[in-house]
Amino acid sequence: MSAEPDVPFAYDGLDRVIHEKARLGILTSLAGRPDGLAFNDLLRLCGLTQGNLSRHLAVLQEAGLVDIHKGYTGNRPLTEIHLTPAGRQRFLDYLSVLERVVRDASARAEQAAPGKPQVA
Amino acid sequence: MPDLDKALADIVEIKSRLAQSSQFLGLGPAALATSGVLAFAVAALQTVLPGAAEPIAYFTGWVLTALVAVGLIGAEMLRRAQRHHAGLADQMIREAVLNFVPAGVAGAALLAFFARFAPAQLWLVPGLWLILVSLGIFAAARSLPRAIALAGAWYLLAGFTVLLLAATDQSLSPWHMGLPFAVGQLLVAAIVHRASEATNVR
Repeated sequence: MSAEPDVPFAYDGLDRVIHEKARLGILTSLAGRPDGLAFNDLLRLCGLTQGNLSRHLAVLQEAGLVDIHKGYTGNRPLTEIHLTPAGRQRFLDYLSVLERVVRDASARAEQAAPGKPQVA
Repeated sequence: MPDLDKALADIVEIKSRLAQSSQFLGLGPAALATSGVLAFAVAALQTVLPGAAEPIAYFTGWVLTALVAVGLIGAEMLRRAQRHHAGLADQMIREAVLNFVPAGVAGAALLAFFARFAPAQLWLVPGLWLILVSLGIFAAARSLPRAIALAGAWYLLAGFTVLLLAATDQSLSPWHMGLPFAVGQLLVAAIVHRASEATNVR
């Protein structure tokens, strides 16, 4: 996850499965929900169509990041989605790299600000 | 660079949400059990030492015991949190500490208040402290093993029992602190140990 000294901005830890706008939204929605979320709640929170959400959930499930449980509440079908322990850890690793990206960008922007010495 | 600052704040917020919804594995059974044994030892010592039941000696003894216990539990917490929570350790520790800070501050304020304005009522403090500990445990229960509610209930029950017992002669007894804390801390240690084993098995 840490960058090599000669390629400090490689950011290899930016997981491609997670690094997609919709999937990032799905994982962020699930982050604070240990009991998971219903499919319809995710639809509302992420602003996706049913087809799009299903497609992205399939990608996340295949990567082992989420569990999808299909059951019933009363007579109505209910699909619940949870972050897996591995998904939680990978999302956390991703966030740590993303945080480093933003801090690096912030440091570079400060250096490039008028009146600041430029670093080669 | 408000955009970058906003992005950083968003990332920290998401990590905090992850921390809040994760079980905290930083509490170590060894330090918790040691604090229970320490409480028992201090109560035994205060029972045999002359003058130990005087309010100043009594509360100095228990405040020092609490500081040592917090130091032991805190040191083990830092070590375990780094091992179990990696990139989330700082957030997890902050959440855990914030859960107990109100109870700790209220406990210190209670002692200061009674010592300054109502020294004749200091016998109320041990029972109230136990109740505050129970509130701290219940506040932290969401991020601890479910069985921790038993320890919260123990401290709550012990707090009211101690208040009831102390009210009969309005005195300070070392065992009003030592026994509830010894049992309570050993109970918390057992619960945490059992949960750690279950996590390791998984």
